[in-house]
Amino acid sequence: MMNSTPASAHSPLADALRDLAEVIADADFALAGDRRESLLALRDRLIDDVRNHATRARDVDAPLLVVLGGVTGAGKSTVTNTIAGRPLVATGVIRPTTMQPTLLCHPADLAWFTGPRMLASLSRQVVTPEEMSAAPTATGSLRVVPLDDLEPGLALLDAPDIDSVSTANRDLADLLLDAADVWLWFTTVGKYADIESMRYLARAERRGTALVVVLTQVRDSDRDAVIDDFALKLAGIEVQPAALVVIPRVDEEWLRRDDGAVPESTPPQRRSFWRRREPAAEPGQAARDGAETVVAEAAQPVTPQSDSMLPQTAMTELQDWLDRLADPGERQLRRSQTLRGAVSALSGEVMPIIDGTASELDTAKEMLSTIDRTYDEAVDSFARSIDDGLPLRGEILGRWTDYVGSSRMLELTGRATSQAKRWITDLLQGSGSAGERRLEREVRVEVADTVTDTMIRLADLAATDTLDEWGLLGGGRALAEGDLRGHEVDLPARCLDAVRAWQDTVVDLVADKGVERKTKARWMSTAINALATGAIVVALASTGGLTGAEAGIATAAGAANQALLVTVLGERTVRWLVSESRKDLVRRFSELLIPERRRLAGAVAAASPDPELPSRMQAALDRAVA
Amino acid sequence: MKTPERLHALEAGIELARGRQEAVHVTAARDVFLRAQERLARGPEHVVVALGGGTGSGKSSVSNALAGAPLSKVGVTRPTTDRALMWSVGHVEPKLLEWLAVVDRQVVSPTEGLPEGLVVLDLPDHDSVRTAHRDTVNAAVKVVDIMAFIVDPLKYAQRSLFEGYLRPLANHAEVVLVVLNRIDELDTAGQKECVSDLQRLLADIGLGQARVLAVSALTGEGIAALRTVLAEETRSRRAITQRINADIAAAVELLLSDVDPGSSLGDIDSVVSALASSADLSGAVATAAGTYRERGLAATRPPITGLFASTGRRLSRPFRSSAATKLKKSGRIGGAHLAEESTETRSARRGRDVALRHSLRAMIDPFTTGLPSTWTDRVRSLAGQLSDRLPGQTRDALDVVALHPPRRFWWAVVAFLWTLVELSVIVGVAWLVVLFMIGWLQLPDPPTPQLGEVPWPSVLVLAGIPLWLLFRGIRAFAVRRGAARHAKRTAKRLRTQVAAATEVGLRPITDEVAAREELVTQLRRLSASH
Repeated sequence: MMNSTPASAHSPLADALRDLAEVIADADFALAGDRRESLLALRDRLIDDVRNHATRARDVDAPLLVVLGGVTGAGKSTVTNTIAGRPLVATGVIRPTTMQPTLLCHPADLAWFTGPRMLASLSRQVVTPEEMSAAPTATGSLRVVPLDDLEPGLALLDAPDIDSVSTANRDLADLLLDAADVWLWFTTVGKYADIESMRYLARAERRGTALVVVLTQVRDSDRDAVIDDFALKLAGIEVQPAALVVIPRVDEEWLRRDDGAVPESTPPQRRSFWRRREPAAEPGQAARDGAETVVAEAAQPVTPQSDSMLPQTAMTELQDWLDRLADPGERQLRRSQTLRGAVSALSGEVMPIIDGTASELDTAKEMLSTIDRTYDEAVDSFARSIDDGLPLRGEILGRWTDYVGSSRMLELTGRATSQAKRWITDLLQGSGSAGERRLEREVRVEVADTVTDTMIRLADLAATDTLDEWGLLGGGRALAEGDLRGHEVDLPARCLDAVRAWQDTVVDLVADKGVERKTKARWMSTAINALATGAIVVALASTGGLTGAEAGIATAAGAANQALLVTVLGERTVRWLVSESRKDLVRRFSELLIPERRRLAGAVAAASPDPELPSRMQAALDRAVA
Repeated sequence: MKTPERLHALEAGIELARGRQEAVHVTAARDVFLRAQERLARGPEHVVVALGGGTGSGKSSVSNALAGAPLSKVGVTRPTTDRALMWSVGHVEPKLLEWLAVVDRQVVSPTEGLPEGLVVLDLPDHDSVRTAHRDTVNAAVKVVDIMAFIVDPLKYAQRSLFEGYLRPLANHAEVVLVVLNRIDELDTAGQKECVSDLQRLLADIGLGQARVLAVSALTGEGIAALRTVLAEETRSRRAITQRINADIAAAVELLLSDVDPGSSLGDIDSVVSALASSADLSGAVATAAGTYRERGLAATRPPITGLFASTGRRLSRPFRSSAATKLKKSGRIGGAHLAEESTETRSARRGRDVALRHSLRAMIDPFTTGLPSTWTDRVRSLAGQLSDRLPGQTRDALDVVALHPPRRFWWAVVAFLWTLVELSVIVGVAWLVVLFMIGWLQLPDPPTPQLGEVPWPSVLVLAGIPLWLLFRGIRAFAVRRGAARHAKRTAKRLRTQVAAATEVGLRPITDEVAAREELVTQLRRLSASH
């Protein structure tokens, strides 16, 4: 029992619990949306919790941690002081009084509370009782006070309140209560029906924590009525504490009544959790502390009494209870009760985490399918744009059409006399064709620009649509508001390359077809470029004549390009050529979008949890609970 | 601003906010508006004070001490008061009672300390296990004029009171009283400490101006002061409007909370450009220039040589794009043209939506970043509708711009002078031929007028041919210049027209910006005058 270096036994339960804590730590709820904050808080608490359980399962001979929790003003600190036998902790009228928790233990147990095993998530400072008043208060850290007066194996922790305006206090109290082996729950006559307090009691019950409820400030005259009512309320929420302990309201009336009766009723030689001090020493010390005496004269002869302490006689019931807890057998029992309860309650507590992770995975799946949908739509919309005709600049198109419609181009179709052919061939090869080549180049550049612009805009719109839809998903809002708009930096360059490559493909197609139709003219090879440009224009700016089967070629005959191409290559070939080249361009566009999709899918993958996580959690949980 | 005016302004704000801001905020503001109207209609001669607080703080004791009679039950088991009890000094309008939804009521006769018109509601607790109590309190807190929260040294820092009731009333400092009861349990120093800590906590949540009173219902200490405060409030009756104003301020704060008044629409020019390209302005401009050229050349063509000019052109006619031909024929891009060319242009228009959608989205995004999500959705769907509608509207608007140039005066002048030159050359040649024929036939020379040494027919021919060539050059140059000018002017006119049409077409979206401005102005005015 006096081991200063805590022994650790191998325990399969402890290992299982530690594994569970590790698995739970993998969840980060990036896709949980509005629920993220609460789930993260739950996760962190659960991790601490499970680690505490693991410690409890492993360190069977660790001291029993009794946490004094409850509402503000119930007298936790006063009771702590009374047990310590000196005004260690500040008490007062300011609510909440206690901002920093204090732990009392036997010096032999000190190692447990300074080492990495118990309450390790708090920063801790060891303060001797003498230094206590001088020690600086550091909110959020835990003061550990070794006291020779206490029995080894039992530690008392004065926790902050749970119901005052100080949220920090509640969070800290939650942490400490979760780590406790036994709850000493303090409430008072004025507050016993408060819903906050009742919620905590229900939680203790749910988790099977060993629970002692302490009702303070009870006037003797109201005692029976209040206890009955409180018991009824506790039964109402199905809380069954191990004991309901009453600490009377210490006022003149009580002291007068108390004068002879209670001290006698306490067996003086009983083994006690805290060792009795010489009564004579106390009044002086309390007075030295400068604490104000409420019932000065009347109390003086009976017991030590100050604002920060109670007369011991007022605490007999509580004392009995602590005495019982200090017994090693009882300690073991309480600890295992709490551990058993806590572990079996784990299933329910881990469930929201597992569910949260599972629903995150659903969200991720939904988000990925959104990407597929919006980018598929972009491809469709691109295909439609081409079918409808891209917005090629009318001015350039007009010049091209004029050129195609001119008699010069007409000659090229092979209708003219061989003389004319020769004349044209000469012109095409000679200097006279420079302007025409320039026009042809301009048309190609215009086509490339327009197609590239359309592609980039569609990619942007697809990204925007995706993010909009993510925003509606709830879980995806964080990502939707992130920096994912727009497109990859190199998309414009890749688009331009793809469009140029496509134009070359069209030239090849036209050349193949031209060669097949040798009968037309061998000289045509010189005009292939011009014809291909015509085909490109038809494929992109065609006004529905060729694809709309019902409209038929005839109605579109007005379009010079089509007329020309049909004349040279034949209607079926032109149809085939246009549909082939369109298909090719659409295919190229959908290939261009692959890195875009990957960019968004990567963001989802980075935010989404491991797909195996829910089942891993479930498995770890099953192992721990079994 | 008077209260009716404020309510009016609030109503206008609510109207603007509906469908734009978060529904919960709008509903909250609407509730405030309706409640205020009701309250003013039902018994403005009474001031209703609610005594609220946690269980065990002594609401009923304070109520009894105030009334000077044991009207409410006091007990040790918690909670004691189950239903709201009401007592009034003197008679109360039944419609006010109905509004407060109170069943139990008692009447106290007016005295010096308790003037007629005071109505006190002793509420049940808000913090016990009885949830029905909380509902009663929550309902009452919304309708009463003054909220007096009774706390005690044990419970004055209770979170459920601060977070559940006091913080939401942060705008209501004028009509919130915090009464620290049971000060008999503390000594003087403790009282002082407790009160100043309570004031600090109140100041932390913005209620530093709320009045704090320390009383003891047991000893009667401070009850007289509390009575004085309530008597004064009852006489002045200002709490009714103060409460309404504070409610309005809170609603306004909520409505303003998620609107950024500074965000504005992005670049409109890119939308204009997208529409210009969708309406194919460059094509129209090319057509305009082409028509000018054609007509200019046709109009300035000399009658005789002109006969040979148009032969080459006729060959290409079957191969001209029908769209371009029709555009040339009608000289308009707009609706009429659209109807004729339906399949062709409509499908082309759909294809051009990509640029428009993109630019519209880029335009609204900077604006919607400062808006709540409902409003953002609204603006986005408006933009979606516009991207379908705008191209057609733009085309209709462009219909008024004539692409064909009007006839120019100088065309006629050039044509006339050139005709003269041509005629004079013809006359000269004919004359010379006649002279040649006369010489060949060896007839006597007719007298030929001379310009100096040179005979006139030779002058006509020698001067006429260079002049004819000169005219040809001048005409070609002038027509080209004219066409360029005409193209430029048409482009400008079309562009202006597109910009104007865009402005009109974007009105649904600019209306949203205006609505935001109007809303912010209305609400700011409300909160400024508070």
